[in-house]
Amino acid sequence: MSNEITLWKSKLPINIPPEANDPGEIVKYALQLARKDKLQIASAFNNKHYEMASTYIWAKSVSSLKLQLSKLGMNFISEMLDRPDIDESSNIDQKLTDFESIRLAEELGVISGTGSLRLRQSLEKLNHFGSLPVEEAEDFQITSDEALGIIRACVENILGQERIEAALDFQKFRNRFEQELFTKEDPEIEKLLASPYFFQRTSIRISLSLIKSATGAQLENALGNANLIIPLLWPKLKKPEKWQIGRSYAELFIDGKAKAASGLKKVLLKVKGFDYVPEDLRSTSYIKAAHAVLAAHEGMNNFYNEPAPMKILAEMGSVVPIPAFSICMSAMLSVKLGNSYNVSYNAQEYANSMLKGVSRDRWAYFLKECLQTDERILYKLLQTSPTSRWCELVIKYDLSEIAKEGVTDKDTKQLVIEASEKNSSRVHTLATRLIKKLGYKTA
Amino acid sequence: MPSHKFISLRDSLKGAVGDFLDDERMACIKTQDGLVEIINALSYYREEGHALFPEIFVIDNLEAVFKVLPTSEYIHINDGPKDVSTMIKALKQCAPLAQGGWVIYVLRKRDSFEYGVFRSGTTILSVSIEDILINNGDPAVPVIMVHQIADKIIEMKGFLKSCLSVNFGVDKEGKGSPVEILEGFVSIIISSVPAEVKELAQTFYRRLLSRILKEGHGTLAAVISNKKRKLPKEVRDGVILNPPINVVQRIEDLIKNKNPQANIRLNACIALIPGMMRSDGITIFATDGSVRAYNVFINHPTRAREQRRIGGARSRTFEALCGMLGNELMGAFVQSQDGRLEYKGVTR
Repeated sequence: MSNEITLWKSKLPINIPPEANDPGEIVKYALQLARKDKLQIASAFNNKHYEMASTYIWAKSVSSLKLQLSKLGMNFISEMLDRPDIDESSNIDQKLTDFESIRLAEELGVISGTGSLRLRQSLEKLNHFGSLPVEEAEDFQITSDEALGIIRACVENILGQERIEAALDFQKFRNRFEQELFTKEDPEIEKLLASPYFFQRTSIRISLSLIKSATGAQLENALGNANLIIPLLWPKLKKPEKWQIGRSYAELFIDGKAKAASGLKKVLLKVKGFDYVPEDLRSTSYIKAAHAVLAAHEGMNNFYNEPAPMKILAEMGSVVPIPAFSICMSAMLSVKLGNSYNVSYNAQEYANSMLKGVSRDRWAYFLKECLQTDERILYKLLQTSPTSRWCELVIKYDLSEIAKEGVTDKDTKQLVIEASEKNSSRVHTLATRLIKKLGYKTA
Repeated sequence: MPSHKFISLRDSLKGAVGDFLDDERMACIKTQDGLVEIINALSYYREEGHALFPEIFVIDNLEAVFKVLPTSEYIHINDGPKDVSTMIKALKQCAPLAQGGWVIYVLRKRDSFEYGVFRSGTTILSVSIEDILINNGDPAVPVIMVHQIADKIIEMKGFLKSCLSVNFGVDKEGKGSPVEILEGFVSIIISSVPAEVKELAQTFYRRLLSRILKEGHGTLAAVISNKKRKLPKEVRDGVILNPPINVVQRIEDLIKNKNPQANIRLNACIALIPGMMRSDGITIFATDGSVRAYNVFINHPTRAREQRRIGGARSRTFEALCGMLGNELMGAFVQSQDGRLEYKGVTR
């Protein structure tokens, strides 16, 4: 992102010499680890217990990362991840998947894009080896190189930092949201308009989070800033974000927050956005169910844990309320595309039954409005096996025809067309381009 | 020769309603005539002997109204020619339905009036229709609202903030508008409620007390500081609630759990507390929004007894309560059947 205009720059990882290949040396940089932990990790590694060493350091790292993220407030996290199932009383360890923690940390500038990429790769390896059945686990084990990579990623990006916290620029930006009023001429607003989509999406989410939680003068400022920023960004916003704003208004209304609801009403009237206010909050149940699927998919033992929540989601009915459609598609496709190792076989029938109910119009909506900003699915399209499953899915549901007719973004359209021709390498290239456009990092 | 004088408020009311509609940019002679009839009818509205307190919203765009009211639903009742008779019919047919959150709408069409009832929100804490459409109204959604706010007092408010209060009483002794009195007293009851739930506690008590005001039933209430663990000895002669009714805790429970049980528990308070306030004696609140006691009687100080020979029993008790302000009490409120409506409070 170095050449791009960005609202806040992520923190750099600590500097471990690239040639360092002794875990004992690497963990010396881990300021957050106690001496005994460092010794245990090095000892496990040296005794060739690679999985034990990497799982242990991973647990320490993610726990530290989640603890620090929780200090931003669970309501803030709920809004940033568009997770209505999280509230101030939620336990972050139980609610946030490791994948979500890494993604959120990247979005807030806590870790760099490259660091995030390395941590995601480490997570996938650990999930895979941790999920192997006993008979396979004997034959396939984490290698020393893989374990070293995981240890390095954890220390460089998390444990080596004295304190894990959001990037200073981000904190300043968030504080300004509630402490003063932006004007259209502010350099930050100009930067925001020129920033990649994920900064814009994050700004909208910061704004909604403050509107929901602030009181008094802070609320006034948050509403004033929303009244400036949302109309400026509205033409560029994708429908999932527009639905998030509409759903926030409905929630504020139902929760009795008159001042905040009235302020957001003004914004929605300004942008003529009331079509995005759900008539009821039935969609919230779908969103929660979809997140349960994703939590299983992104957690340990995913192949065994996916069927139950996927079944629940499928049994809620195939006609998903449109405000929840984007995240439900993300959940269904995560199950269908699996990860680089495989898919959860027992979850397939439920995902298939739901996908069967997706109408042509809804597919067009997904391809046009959701796919290009769904980093979860786009990241999957950087991997060989999920990409080949994506190609099969595109062919099965004849998505290239829909893309040709209704998708305006040329990279997204091409990504679907290439998939219909089973051109996996082009799909990778186009997914990479879309992820970069969003503002995230790829290999 | 004996003179025969006939006094009618109609002309002055009609003029005021006309000016109101002009100010709200909703001028229409048919609406004006209809509203005069509705305001008149609402001053003492009864069906089969039961007092009803319907809220009426006159709107121009049904779709726009429902879009800004999430979780709303409406029931179309009827249409009629655009004249007074349809407005009266709308009130007659819809008033018995306009309870428990349902309100009446009259949709102005080019040549007719359509009417029915609608509601929105999922709990009693949800933002009120009045708050969204009127108090925070917007030119994109023109609306006016008519309702009774206190005994014999009708209020008409518009989305552009015009307000017309019509008092059909003749012997009002109270000080200030009923809405200001209500807001003032509510602000004392919730003065120590934590900031995160203050707005919701305000909504709760606003709804509760507005019901008391509309009914016009005589009532006396007082507020003690939340720091007082025991009731002051002067207000212990009554039914002391142990434990107190902790309204704020129920509100917090509803926010946190958002389940029907929590909603039922809060609704139970809305059903229970007015009953206490209708009882003889004084209802005692604390500044944390809790109810501490009801049916409380006090000894009037000798000086007050001598000074206040005039006025009813409630008025005299109110004076006695005011004498305790700043020491034992933080606020006192009276509504008497003779029309007195007043509150006094201590700000700290």
